[in-house]
Amino acid sequence: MAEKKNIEKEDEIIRQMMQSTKIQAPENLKYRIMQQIETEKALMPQRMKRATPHGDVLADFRSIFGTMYVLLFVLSLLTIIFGGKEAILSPQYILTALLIVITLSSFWALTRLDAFLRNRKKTK
Amino acid sequence: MDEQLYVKQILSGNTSVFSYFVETYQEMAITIAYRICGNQQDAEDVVQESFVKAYRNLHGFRADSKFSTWFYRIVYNTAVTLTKSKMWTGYNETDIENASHLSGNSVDSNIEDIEQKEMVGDILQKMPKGDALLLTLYYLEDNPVKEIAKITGLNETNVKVKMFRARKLFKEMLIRYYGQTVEDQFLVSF
Repeated sequence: MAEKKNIEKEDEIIRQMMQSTKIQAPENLKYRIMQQIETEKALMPQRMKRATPHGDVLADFRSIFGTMYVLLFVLSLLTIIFGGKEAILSPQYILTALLIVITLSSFWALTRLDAFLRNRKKTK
Repeated sequence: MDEQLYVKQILSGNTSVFSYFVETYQEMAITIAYRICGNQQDAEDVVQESFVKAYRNLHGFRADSKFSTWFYRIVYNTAVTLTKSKMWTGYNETDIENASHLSGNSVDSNIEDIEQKEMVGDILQKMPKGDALLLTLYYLEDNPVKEIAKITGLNETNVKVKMFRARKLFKEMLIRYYGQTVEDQFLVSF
């Protein structure tokens, strides 16, 4: 307990000492930086792009899984219309539904992987 | 105001908003750069280049991280690249021992006669660059270890170990360089 207090006290002393070592930026530095940035902007406006849409997890999720549920709904509807309620339990229907689920889930996973790799490449 | 909002405004083309970031972070940036470069002119060049890099890559800034951490990382990388500095060269006990030669003409110096700013600045200049930088990031801006790790590219355990050594070296050099008075007046706790 006493040791912890000592460390805290010591930290406080060093902190106070360090405060005086902050270097003041020269007055014209901000001006120089802003001028260079304005020049940069004028020369290469195409560099300033909005955040890329491939990072939107929810949008991908909604569109891909939305499509999946629509397909499953249509499949179920057609199966009931043409084969009756019993057809819902048939292996043919279950396998087709499973195929839709696996295909679209894999597609979503690949989309996320692609977005992740692109982001990582960009931040490097 | 939320910095995320400023970032969005800049990305939508309002460049003048970037002056907020320059105003807010230029002093800490120049301090970091100075610790690595060792002179004011290079430090200013590094800060200028870093702000331009930050502006160019602003679209890559992630909303879940702090702007300061992201930007200080740019400053750190730019300064290290410019000076080709070796930040983490080993020192261990030898540097502490080497500090003792500095004490020759200063042992009897009274702390009242020495500008504290000069004294601490002098010690930081003589310390290994990486150590001085860690102390600056930790004590000057109260950056947590996690953020320091992100800025320097070290892992958290490494930062903790290096921080411990840097503090120890700082205290040792302070006492050996400026004498017993310092220990009595400032560092009574250890």
